[in-house]
Amino acid sequence: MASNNPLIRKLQGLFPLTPEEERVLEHACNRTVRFGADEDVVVEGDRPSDCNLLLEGLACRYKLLPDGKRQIMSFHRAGDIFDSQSFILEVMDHSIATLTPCTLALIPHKVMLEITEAHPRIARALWKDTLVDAAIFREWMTSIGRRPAYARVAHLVCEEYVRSLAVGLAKDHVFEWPVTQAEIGDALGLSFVHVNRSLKELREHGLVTFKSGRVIIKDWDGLAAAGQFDPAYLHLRPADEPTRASGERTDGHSLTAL
Amino acid sequence: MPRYYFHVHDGYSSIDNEGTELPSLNAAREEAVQTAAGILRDSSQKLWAGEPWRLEVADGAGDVLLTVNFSVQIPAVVAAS
Repeated sequence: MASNNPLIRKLQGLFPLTPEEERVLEHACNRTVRFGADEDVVVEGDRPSDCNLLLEGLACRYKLLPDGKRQIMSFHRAGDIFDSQSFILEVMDHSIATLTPCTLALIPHKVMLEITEAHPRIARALWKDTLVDAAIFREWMTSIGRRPAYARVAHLVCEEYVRSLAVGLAKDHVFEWPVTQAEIGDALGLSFVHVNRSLKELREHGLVTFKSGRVIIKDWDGLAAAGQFDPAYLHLRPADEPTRASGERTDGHSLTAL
Repeated sequence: MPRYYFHVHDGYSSIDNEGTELPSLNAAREEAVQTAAGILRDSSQKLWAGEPWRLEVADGAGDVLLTVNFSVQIPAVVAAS
């Protein structure tokens, strides 16, 4: 059985955990808090005392420029600890906002310290998660710096699909992604009108449709080709590898579904 | 907020039927230049194929409020050589 805890589901896709390690993580996630849509969770300059684990909803990391322009640096869904760096780096160098109503689990830094000291394999799993985070930033940098708008948008849709699939939030090339075109523009460095035009082109080419927050991928191979998308940088474990250290296999996040 | 329509004419013209809500004509001007820059960045080959490039911003009544033009030229003497 895949765990109901999205963090465990996500880490299982990256690194095999033992049932004992899963229990420890499960226990650390018992304090939750709810946010509405478009609220700041942490702001640049804050010194948080907890790490935030997203249990439900969509959030993003962003920076605001002096002229009011916003750069979104990543999108997050259930299973992401989007400010795990606050545990080590102390002062936030960017802000985090919800995009939809969100439920978060607060994991005190003190608990993070206890867990990572007592369970070095959990520390390694979280380390891998952080490294994959960095790999995703490298991919975004490549997109924003060099890929044409059409490929940028296609690549982002592919990435969101595979990341949703990895935590059981996507199925059969359909997933919920209720972001606005303005948010996609802020993430990809494109004007609103250019995002609109690129989405329209993707739709007209029969690759993907967008309907009230739901993405339906009509032609996965075509979309991946349009986005120059290769999921290698997400470093997900192959589907035929045992998901748990115990050797037990779980379903719900296999790349074979692509 | 008024709705503005961004039509791109670049050989295989793209007519904007949906439009975009923006706070002011100034915001539409900014959006027009940002959009033109973004599209032009990706369109080098099409430009040199010879089609003049034009982005028009129209209002809900279909009246054109502003135009961004872009064209490339090769002097005849160079083209002939």
